Amino acid sequence: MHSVYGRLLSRSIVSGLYNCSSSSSSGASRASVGNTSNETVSIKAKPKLVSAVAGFPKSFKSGKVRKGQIGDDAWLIKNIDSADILAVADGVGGWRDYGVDPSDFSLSLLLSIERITRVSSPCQFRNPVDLLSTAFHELLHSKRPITGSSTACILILEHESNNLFTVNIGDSGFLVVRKGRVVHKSEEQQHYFNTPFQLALPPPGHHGSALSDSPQSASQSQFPVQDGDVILLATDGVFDNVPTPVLLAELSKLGGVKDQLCVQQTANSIALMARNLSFDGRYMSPFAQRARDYGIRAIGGKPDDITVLLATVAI
Amino acid sequence: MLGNSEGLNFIEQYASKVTYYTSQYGSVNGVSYTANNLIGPPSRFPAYGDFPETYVPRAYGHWWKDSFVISSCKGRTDGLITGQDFVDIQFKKPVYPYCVNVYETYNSGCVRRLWAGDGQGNWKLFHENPIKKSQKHSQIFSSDPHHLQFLTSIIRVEIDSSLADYYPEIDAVLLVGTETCPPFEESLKLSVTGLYTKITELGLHRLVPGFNAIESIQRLCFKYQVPETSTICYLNKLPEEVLRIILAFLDLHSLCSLACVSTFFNKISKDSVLFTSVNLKPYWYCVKLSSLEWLVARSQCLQYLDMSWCGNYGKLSSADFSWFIKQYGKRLRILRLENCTFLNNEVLYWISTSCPCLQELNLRGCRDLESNAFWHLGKLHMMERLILDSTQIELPTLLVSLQSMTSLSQLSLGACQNLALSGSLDEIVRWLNRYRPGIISLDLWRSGHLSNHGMEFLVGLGHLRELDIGWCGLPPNGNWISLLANHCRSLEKLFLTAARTVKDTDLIAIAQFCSSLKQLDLLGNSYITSEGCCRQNTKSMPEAAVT
Repeated sequence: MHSVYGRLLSRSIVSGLYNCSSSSSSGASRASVGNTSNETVSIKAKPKLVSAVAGFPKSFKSGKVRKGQIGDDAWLIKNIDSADILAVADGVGGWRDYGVDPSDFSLSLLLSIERITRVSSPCQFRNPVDLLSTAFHELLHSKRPITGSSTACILILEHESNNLFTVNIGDSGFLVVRKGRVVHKSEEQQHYFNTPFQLALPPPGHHGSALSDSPQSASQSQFPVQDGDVILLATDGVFDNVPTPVLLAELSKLGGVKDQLCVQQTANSIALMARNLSFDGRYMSPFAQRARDYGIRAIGGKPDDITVLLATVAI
Repeated sequence: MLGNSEGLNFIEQYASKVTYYTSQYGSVNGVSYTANNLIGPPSRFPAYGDFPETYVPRAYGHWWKDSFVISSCKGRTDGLITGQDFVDIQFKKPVYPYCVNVYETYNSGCVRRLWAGDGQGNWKLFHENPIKKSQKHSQIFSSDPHHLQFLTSIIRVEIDSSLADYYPEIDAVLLVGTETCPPFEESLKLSVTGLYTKITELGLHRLVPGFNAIESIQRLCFKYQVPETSTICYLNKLPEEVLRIILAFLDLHSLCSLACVSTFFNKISKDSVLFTSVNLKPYWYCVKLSSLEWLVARSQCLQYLDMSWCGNYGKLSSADFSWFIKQYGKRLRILRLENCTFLNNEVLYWISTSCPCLQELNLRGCRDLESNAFWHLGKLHMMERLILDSTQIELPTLLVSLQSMTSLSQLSLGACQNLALSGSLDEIVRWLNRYRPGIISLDLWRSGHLSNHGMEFLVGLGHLRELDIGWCGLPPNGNWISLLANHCRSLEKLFLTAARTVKDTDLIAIAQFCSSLKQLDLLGNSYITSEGCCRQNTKSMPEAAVT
């Protein structure tokens, strides 16, 4: 068991290191605006996200762990000139019974978002619902038919305004912690118990019977961020197993540290915590708590793919 | 900035903007397979494969030329064969071009010509490549380096995919040039005496014993001297009708050269009968108002005019063309104006009033033509073939215009964005079923969705020989494809790209009923198995080409 955990931990660390090398190349630049002899030099600082990713698939045998994918979940960290983008998508596993690979849709959705951010202009980031909508419709233009469904949560830190633009559909979510307190938390969107809002492309025979929500039903928000803020973006594997106070404690421990390795360590510990708790049969997890609210006598954690994206804002 | 060479600074630039393109495979608002993917450095090169981050033109192969509709009306044969598509790419800094690299990632080898343009409509041919079969590896198509003394800000990449097996895909274009004009190269041509002087100077005449420099030079220079002939021209004696038949085989360029030979040939080459069909597309780069003025003297019998690609970037104005068509359109039967940017409301008005006999109108790719202009089409009662791909036509305008076209046999509405947005396909198909059930060719590629009602009407068009419903969302349930095959048995071309609902049973139906099928496109359908395809191939379907 230990060796397996060890292997996965090291894999998640490796993915974090990969992240480190790619994000350190786009360092926080201090650009000095040109001056005449009479004006003073003004310095505009560009904000940057020091980010890390960690996670475990639900099942080691069938779940894939690759760049951008953990089991049926997919994640994206992208830094471009005008913005930093974090995104997760949780593929709905129920499609496996219909012969559809659930990880295909979530990965394709995030790849689509990545391609659009590469060509879109900075002002389009101000409306993340449109970005999600375009990415979703772009899936229809793929020559290879893509089917399945997933939730999605996208965070965009715009460099010019220091604002974080968010859009969320489904039960993945984010948490923003500042000086030991939660300042922003996303809301889960569910139709009924364990059935989140989801973007879907059902295979031809199942158009009527599958649940499919429009990108317009996603909830969006925007707020300014400060130096030292800690942002956690994760799929429901984390929020269903680890209670919010525990997450808050972990993130506060990180403080405003901007060291890549510290961020990676915290991400790893949160992922490991969620993993351990999910397989604990006698623990009153948030998932079990909510099930009881619906009248279902459940106990224990919820085994699920765990994806943790952790970032500190550095201005 | 690259290295220095003879004091010149070479600058490498990737594309900064796409100013014009003839067609693209992707949809107008999307990012997959669209022309804007050419901007910036290559995204996927040197990988080889079908990637959505590249530019792909809409057509490939010989399908389009083989369409029975197009082949039934050919113009005069012309020496210079143009490609099917082009893309105009703008670079940030205008330079004197030295070399252009085109990064191809799929079916390489389809770049035919590279043109250097200054943005005001003046073009110079930068590089020409003979057509060859497409290759299965990614490559940088690189023009022969030579320094052009022409300040270039736009490069036109002309693509000819007629020998390609599948779509060619281009990832990026790199322009290498200098900001300063290269020095003028001295001509190396010498006269005979100059050559002799140079040989004796270098002492070459002493290399071989017994070598006589003057004799060898004379032999070399006068090797191809034409023997003396009499000055009587027997061609003059031929009757004019016979001469006209001979001259009808000449292309436009040669005909113009012939006019310079003598007054007799000048007169004969101006004969209007020789100008019943004029194709100016191969000469797009030099067509301007004076070309139309030249044509005026010869256009009494003009019946077929192809001015596709001409007059862009302000070389021809709408007033110029309107003036021309007002006077010489009365006998015009076929008018092709693909990708002409000078078209507007006024031009279409004059076309519709001055060309009452018009049977074919091709306005493919005229994206800037405002939707109001199409109201004038209603006056063209004799119209048989209407091609409006990639235009801004709207549903009400279309239906009103089609009302008067009683002998309509071909309708092309591919990639019409306004139709796609307003969900009009059902209505169009319903109208066609009711009023023009004899329609032979229908192209609705990427123009919207078809519901069950729409499919019901489509199936009723029993005379269809060509049908393209690729990338139209078809209804998920129902046996529509099988029904279509059953009722439209004379289908020769059927494109069901990304219909997503094609099943093996549909394939069996197609194989069983459509015995004259020549082209079938089934890309993007996940429910068909190779078994179904094999079974279909063994049925009697000669000349079928399947993708």
